[in-house]
Amino acid sequence: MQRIGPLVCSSFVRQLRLNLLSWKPLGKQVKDWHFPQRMFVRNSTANQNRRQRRDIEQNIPLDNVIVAPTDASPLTELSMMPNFRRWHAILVQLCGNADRYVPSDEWDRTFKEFHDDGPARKQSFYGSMMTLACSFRYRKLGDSILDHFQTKQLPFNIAVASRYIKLLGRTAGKDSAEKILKMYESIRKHFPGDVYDVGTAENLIAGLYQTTKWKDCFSLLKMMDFTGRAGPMAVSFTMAGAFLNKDCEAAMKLVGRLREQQFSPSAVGFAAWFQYAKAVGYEAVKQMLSCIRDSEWYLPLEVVKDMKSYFESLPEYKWTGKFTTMTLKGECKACHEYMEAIVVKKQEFEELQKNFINAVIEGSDVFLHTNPQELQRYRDFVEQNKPFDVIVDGLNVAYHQGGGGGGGRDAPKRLSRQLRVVVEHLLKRKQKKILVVGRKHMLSWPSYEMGILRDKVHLFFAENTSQDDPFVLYAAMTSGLGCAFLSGDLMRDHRFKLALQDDELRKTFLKWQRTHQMELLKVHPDHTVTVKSPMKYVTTVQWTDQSLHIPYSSGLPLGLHELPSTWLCLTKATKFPNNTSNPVLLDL
Amino acid sequence: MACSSLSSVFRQTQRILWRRCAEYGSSGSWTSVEGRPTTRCLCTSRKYIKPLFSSLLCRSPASFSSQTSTYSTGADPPESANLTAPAPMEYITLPGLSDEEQQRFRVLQFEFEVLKQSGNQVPSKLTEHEWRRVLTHNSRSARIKFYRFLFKNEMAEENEKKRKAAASAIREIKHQQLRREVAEDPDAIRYGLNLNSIFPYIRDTTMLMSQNVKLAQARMFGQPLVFDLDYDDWMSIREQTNTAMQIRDAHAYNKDARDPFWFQICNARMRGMTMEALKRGIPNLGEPSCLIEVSEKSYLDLFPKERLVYLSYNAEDTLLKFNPEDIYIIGGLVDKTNPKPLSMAKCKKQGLRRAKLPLDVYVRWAMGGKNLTINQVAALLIDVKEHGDWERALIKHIPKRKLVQPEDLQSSPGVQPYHKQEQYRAPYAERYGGGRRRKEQQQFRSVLESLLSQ
Repeated sequence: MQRIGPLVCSSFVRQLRLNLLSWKPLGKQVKDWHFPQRMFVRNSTANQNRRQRRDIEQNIPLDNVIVAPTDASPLTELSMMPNFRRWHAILVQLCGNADRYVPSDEWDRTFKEFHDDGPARKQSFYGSMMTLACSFRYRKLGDSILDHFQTKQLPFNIAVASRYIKLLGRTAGKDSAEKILKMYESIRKHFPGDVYDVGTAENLIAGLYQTTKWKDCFSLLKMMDFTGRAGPMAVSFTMAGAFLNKDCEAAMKLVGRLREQQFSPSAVGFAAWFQYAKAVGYEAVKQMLSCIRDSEWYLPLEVVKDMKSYFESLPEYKWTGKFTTMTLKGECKACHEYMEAIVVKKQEFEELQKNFINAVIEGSDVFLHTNPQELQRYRDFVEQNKPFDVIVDGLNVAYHQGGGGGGGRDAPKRLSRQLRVVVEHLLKRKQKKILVVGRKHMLSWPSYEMGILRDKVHLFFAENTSQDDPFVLYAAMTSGLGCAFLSGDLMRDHRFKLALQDDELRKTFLKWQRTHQMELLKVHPDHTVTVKSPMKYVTTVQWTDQSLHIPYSSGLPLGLHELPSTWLCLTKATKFPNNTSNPVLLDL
Repeated sequence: MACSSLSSVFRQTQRILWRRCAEYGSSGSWTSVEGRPTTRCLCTSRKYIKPLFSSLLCRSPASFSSQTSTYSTGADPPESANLTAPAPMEYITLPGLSDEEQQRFRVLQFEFEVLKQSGNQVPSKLTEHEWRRVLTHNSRSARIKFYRFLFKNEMAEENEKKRKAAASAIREIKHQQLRREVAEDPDAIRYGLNLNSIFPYIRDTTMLMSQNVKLAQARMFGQPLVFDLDYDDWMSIREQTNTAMQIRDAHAYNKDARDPFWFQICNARMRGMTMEALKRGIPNLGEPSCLIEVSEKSYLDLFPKERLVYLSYNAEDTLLKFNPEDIYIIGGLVDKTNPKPLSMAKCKKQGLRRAKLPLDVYVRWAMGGKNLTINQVAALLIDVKEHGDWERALIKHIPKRKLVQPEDLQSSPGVQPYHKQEQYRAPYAERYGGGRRRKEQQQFRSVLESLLSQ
């Protein structure tokens, strides 16, 4: 009682005073003041995982962990682990920062040290240590836990057993397959009826796919779907198992399943797939690439390296491969060929136009984002003045980079100036007819700037309580395919609403958005502006009779909707150096 | 080691088991086998548990519920002398499930055990009601979150018990001290509970009578306050329950008020989750004794439209003056997961007047959204109706973390109150002793420490 009493409290107060003393300015500082105890969302699991992830990134060296290039990242796994800090402290105490075989006595001693913790902690002791061994790829540690269970005749523990299988699947060894099968048999003996939950089944699949019992993975997948949904990792492992055992039909079914669920296969899956295709022949590799093109997937770096050496070793064509990037217009920097342009078909686009108002602006309730009178007013306005060249999301542009810094009394002045500067930049680029969509409170912005805007462009102000992005999108769509729009918004919610109606619409919208959305990157102090222009080319596998271009993910983290910018360029040696701006695409 | 597996047995049994294991763990001469253990452990060593359970069976009829015995265990008990031989998983069946659901239930029980062994936060036991909630969750992560929620509740309960035990210990010490003093000097006059006092102790029933008089007065002549429960479709089960609990709290505050509102619950869906939870919270709801009106009708059918004002934080207009002639509507909406301007859209559609609370005018915001819970808004209105001072009411009912506190202003001299105009300046820095509650706690703790050290 004394221990948790006033001592804690007084130290808390002292901390508070210290913090208070060190502050100076107002505004944001006051917001940062609050302690984690007062955090609003402290119970959210995702938030906790994020914090743990940051903690691990800063404090724990993961570079020493030897991870196979096609394997999952340990950081992601560890950040999901409950009570990570505590278990990791025990791990460090046991074997430092390297893999070690821990003798049985030492396990006993460590276990007893944590004896006082109560039954819940004690029960999860070995399971958690095995989870850590699995994430860090400590094979010897895993073996030692298993041996400890055998020598001390401890009761069977399913969490340990299933994770051990996963560990064996990750660390290649001579007797791995044998050990996996043995462990699997003993699990089946202990739990007759083959009833497994999602987590256990995934662990089993992660080991079993390499062994002769790879067909059991399919029943395990079914088991997973029974109480949840099998994740992309489990499906990819099963797919890898099928490819390794040359069961192409079953594997392609799983590939189709992943595509339907909008997941990408994991690196292991891709590696096994390519290995299979390589063994079958050149046609199979082509087929694999065409499948990847249709699904818009990106190969991992390791597989692409493998692919490069494969193509270069083909005797009849004499391919040469280079890792490159593209220019903004889609010109390959290695062979100076242009990539295929993104084309939104007229029919698709008309379908999108037709459904947009219904799905996005009206939605379930017109009053949520606007009201019928305003919507009619806007539609009339657009009908009278269309077509526009560019639609500008006024508030988004004005508030970009915090509207030139901070709040304060002269904020409207700076905001309106930024908007005016950007619009003038667009006018200089010979985009004549511009519509700026904003909200009514902008009418109170300085009349000098707004007057200039009024003279040069069309303005529309929505109600302060209305959403303005749908208006921007509507005007851009009604003006036809020649009209672009300027906004930093990712428009995810609108895309989602379209997907609710029809998934094809979502795809069309995404394509249209990529080709028509400009993004404001920077407004420089000297009133020059950098704008990111819309995307011109398709980021998928592309194949002409002379060359092959494969986009790949280099392993560096990408933004939420960012496409990889790294490509593998393969050209035939017989190719003449020419600049073909209209490549003939072959159907694979 | 044998003890490590007992976590699923309920706590009281467990404590005894622990003690016994410690006492007899080494002797190993257990032979009598009677009764059947009902643990759900994957790695239970039966050798130790069986005889212990024989004496405790009457206290733990089923494995996860201490009251009901409607469940039947699926598997037979293992008979094994070998320590390492595994005890097969024992599955529980719930009445009224189809075969497929039963199979699914088995898998979920298995998952529960695995999660426990992997160190996830799971409760020690689940009731039948909770298992049925688990069955409705279709993904593993949703189930993990639900277990985590239950675990936290369990821990909170446990800590509350500990806290109460400590408080009662202190009370006991104080009481003894008092008795000692009385014994030393029996003739001295002392005031207080159980001592000499001219004031009678007022019991709850008496309080309730006076509260009911005020509520009845409000029902006849008072101002109505409407709760609009039209948002059930937009809320999750948890949010619906929260809505009900907040309305219950608002009712509790209203009862204590000097001049209470006449509470109206409109657009109620009698079979919805919100109403069910509300009936749990206010047991006499719907009876004449409750004095809250519940109706399935809209407020438009009950009151003249021109008197209605919808309170919504998306509104443009600010409620600067409380009007006793208006009828205010509070949306019964908790939107933690998917906030949308629903009430705003609704009153746009119905053409009602709408207003937001004058938060920006009277207080300076530190963190968090400018949305308040239902009971906070109701309490605000009740207070403003009573004394008309918005600032006082806001500071009292908005959570402290959301407001800039006086110590922040004092410690950093650069910080000025937000508005330079006098009428908007927040003078509560001087008026309100910041950190008052913490000071009280500190005093309480020091008393506790001094008493214990004696």
